[in-house]
Amino acid sequence: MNLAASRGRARRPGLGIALSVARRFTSCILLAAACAVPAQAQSTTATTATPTAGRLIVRAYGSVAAGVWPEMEVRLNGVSLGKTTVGSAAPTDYVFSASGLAAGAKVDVVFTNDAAVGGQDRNLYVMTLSDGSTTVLPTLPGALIDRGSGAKAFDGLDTVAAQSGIYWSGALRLTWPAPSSSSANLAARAAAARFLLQASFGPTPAGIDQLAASTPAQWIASQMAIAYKSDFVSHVQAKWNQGADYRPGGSNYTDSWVGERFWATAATAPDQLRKRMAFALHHILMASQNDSNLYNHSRAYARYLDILNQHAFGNYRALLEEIALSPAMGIYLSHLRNRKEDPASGRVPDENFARELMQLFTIGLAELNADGTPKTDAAGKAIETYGNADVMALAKVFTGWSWAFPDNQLTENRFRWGWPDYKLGSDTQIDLQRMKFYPGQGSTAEVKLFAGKRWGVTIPAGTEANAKLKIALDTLFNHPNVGPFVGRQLIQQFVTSAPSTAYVARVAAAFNDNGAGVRGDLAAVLRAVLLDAEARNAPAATSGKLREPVLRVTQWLRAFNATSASGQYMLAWELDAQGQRIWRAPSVFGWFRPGYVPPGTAFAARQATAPEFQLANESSSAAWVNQAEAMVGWGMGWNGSGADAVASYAAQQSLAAAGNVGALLDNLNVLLLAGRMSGELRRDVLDAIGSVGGNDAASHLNRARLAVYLLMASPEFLVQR
Amino acid sequence: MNASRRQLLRAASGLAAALPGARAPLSLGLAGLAALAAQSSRAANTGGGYRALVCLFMNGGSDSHNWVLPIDATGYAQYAAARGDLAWPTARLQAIASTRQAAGRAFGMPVELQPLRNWYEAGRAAVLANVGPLLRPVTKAEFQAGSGLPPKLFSHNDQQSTWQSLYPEGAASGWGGRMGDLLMAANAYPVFTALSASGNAIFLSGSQVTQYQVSGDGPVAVKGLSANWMFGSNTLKPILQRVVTRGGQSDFDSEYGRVMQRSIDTAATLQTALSAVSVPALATTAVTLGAAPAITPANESLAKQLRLVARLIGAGQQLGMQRQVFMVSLGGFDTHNNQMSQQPALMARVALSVDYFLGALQSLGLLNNVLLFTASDFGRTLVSNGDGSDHGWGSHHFVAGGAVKGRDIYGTFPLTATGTADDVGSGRLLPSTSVTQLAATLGGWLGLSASEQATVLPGLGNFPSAALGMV
Repeated sequence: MNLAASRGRARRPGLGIALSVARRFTSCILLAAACAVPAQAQSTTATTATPTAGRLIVRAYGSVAAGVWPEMEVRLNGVSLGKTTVGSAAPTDYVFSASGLAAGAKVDVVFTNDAAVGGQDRNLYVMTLSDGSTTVLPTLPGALIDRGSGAKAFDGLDTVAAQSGIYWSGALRLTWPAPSSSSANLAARAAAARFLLQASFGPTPAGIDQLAASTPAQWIASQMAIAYKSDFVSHVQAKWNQGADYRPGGSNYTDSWVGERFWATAATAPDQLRKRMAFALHHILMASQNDSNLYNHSRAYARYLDILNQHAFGNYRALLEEIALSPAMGIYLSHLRNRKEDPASGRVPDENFARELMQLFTIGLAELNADGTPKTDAAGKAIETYGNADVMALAKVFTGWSWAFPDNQLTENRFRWGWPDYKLGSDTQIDLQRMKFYPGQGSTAEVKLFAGKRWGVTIPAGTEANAKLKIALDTLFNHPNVGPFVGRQLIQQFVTSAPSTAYVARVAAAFNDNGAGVRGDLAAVLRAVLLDAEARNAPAATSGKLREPVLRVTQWLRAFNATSASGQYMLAWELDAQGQRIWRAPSVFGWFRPGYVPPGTAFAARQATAPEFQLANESSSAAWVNQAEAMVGWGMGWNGSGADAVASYAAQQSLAAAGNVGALLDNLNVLLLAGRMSGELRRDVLDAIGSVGGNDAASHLNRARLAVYLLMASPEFLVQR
Repeated sequence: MNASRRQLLRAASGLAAALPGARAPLSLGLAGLAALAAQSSRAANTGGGYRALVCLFMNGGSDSHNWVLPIDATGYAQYAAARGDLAWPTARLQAIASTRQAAGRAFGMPVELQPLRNWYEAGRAAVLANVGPLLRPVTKAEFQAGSGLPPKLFSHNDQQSTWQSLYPEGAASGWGGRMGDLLMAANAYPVFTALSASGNAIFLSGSQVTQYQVSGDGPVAVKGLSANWMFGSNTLKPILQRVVTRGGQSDFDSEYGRVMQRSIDTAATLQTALSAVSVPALATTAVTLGAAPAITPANESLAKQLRLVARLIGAGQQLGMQRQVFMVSLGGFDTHNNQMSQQPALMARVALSVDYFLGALQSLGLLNNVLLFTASDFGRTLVSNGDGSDHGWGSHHFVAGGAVKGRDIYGTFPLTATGTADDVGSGRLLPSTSVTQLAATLGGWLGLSASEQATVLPGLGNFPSAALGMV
């Protein structure tokens, strides 16, 4: 179907008799004569492209002289298919019935009335020729323009290499090519790309082909079989091992190595699913390097990131405990060194971690049904999960914890003032260990949580610190909110911004029981998210998400096999204008909120969450287009002498050089848009490619870059569905 | 139903067919928006010259107990006892004038606020004591019974949203934007009614008004739309324009395309107007106030945002703007730890930035036309956690500008002690003035009638007085 026509878009000027494209097209076939059809031919998305036997679409425009437009005749194997007037200066499709158009067929586009009158030059410009699946440029290898009128247009004399502009009476002559392998198996490859957009940092050409011959379930199983290994700590440690200057306080020290490591692993690591899951968990269990208190503790922060990787397919309960006792989190949410209450001075424990542990990491603010909808009281109001008394009580559990000095050094003095020694030679790496409890420094008071609720608990006064922590974390972990609360956010991260309640319920059920009676199995939850019918079936109208800037860049890195000149993937501030610098969210609430509903939009009208829209505004949207231009034309990141991450468009350049731009568009449609490219977008990109002159390697690279730039700048690319 | 309410509804129904929610054609454009907006706001008084409201939001929950505090002997002793290690020594405090608080009470500010104190003492800034979100006046007993309370107290994101919109996170609009809905018709460019220099803020979203977000340097232009050659093509511009704005596949790309369209439609207009505005440069020499580290205004995010706002206000004069609402913000106020080392810098940043801004307005001759008010997630506990303070509720804030009846403390300044009628636990203050009342006062200054204030501020009628008297 013709998406454009069905939506009533304005037609281009020129030949617009207001008939539907389909009706015009039918009449063309019936007449088998010169027919000119308004601009949009049929949609050619990868998943819907069906080669339509027996037609040839010439996309062309003309320049007028003395009120007369170019006349164009099209021949197939020497037989005329018809003649038409190219009566528009805007690119327009002219459709001819052409049974017998196949690989090896000879196609001629003949310009019969060249003239220059009174300073006006009548010319014919041919942009593309298409049979509905194969689309070629006039610069197809072997094509030429045979100059001359009448029979001289076909005499093989006075020829020039083919180009778009035909400035003489004569014929553009070419041999129809075989379909490109880039256009083969499009539906399966598009489906593979779609899955890899959801489940990884972006598809690679090889990854698409592999998955197209396999299944998502098999892919997940093979990904989950890749063993965890330390990425971030080992990377930071390798830097620190270069000498004292590379350690905190040293002249070469920086806290940005963990950010660079992110880009390197997202671009190249084989265990994509683990790392993508860790990135999703980071959005929920947020600790941000934006806190300057973490500046010198980048190895502790690296450990926090490794924990997310390590437990990505593990159990949420174990992950919670590791995160709670991570020194980086302890610094970030200030429960490291948190002191017990002091009735004499009135001092109370720091509530920071206790509050966010409940609000953000486990149960959220409102009691939830199993499908993620809020429970309501008799008056129809949401029921809050906890009150300030619960926060103050839970805060007591997180008192008395600090750096993991040796057990015989856990003194009050160490508790309050001790810092890790990061100096070369005396570094004992206590920042890589869980925080330890300091005897005598924690509150011994009774802790009463969720009084009056089914899941309420009272931890008796004097309970040993680790036992107390266990009860508190068990209580939170077993709260019925956790499955729907965490599950819905994971769906938002991987698949869709506003999942159906049934989808949330299915994922929450997997959280509650992995099928073997285990609660909190993240591998089971992740399978439930990615293999759900709502993730795998064709997207419903409201399904999908705007992709966050970091994931757009990782997709680019992977799609075009970007390499880092320094080997370090030195990307830093480049996405500041998008509001998303890696590992530096502005607060514990992350870069954007899972509950965000963009005001004044279609989302607000149906109260649908669209979290990533929190970053989309008049400045960031324009800056993204400029960023895409820089990425495509130059690269990304800076290593002191040039762009550090540089992509390769060799495959696309080669397709452009082959003249088969339909294959180029098919390639990019799968790689960048998972086969969702609209007919209008495809047409615009083809027109843009057709506007690049030249037949040399640089011109072909320009065509490839132009196509990638336009696609990456398009809203269709920014949306995952 | 009063007349303006009917007009608002009529305009809203007209817009329903034309605005994003209903998949409007992009071609509606600015003129169309202006025409539709014109239906909505004939009742608002938008005469009397240009007026703008600037919200300075302190992200994280500012501990205002330490910004304005009692310095009379009794009051300071209570303060010092309640705060423990979080109390400023008296040597760091400077007295401020006030006439409206109880006899015998005296107040001061830390030296780090001196640039702001100067404006206060000059009558160009006032303090509003113990203001916070309320649905209606409540007592401590009602708090303890959980009766009549705003939802999700003490939660950062929800109270940020509540301050800005009167609703917790997920709110559909903010009160700055809702005021803009009623005022935008007075503007030659309604699209510039609500501008943010600090990213997405619910404060500025209305039902018709869309917040317009500018980067630190002003609007950002798509370079490709002004490039004559790009990747070997010299006919790319119309294609690029279509490609970057086209939606139609889903709400996601349609709404994104709409943002992009707005960006393209307006960037050049705004940039041209901005380039003709001259405001003072930010100081490039460091200033040291009290215990704060040396601060160079030219490097300060908040000062840069306020300079941009001053330029936008200047540009607004050329563009034919009558009423505007702005948002700037600064982070770092969530002082659970290191409070006594962090606060001096936070106060100095705010004071120096506001000082610059008021001076810049003066240089534009617009000091009397702009009101700046501070806001934050919440106040904090009086009680220390050993190194900082925790999430509270009511807090003290500033209103500054030429129209302010300054040099005074409005509202009721609470006793700075625990166990008082205002203390709902650990020195979390039960607000004595609501954000709703503050908003009504500011809205009245912008030209909203009493009924219009009630329209954009649900629950306003629950409070005894709307106008707080500081403007």
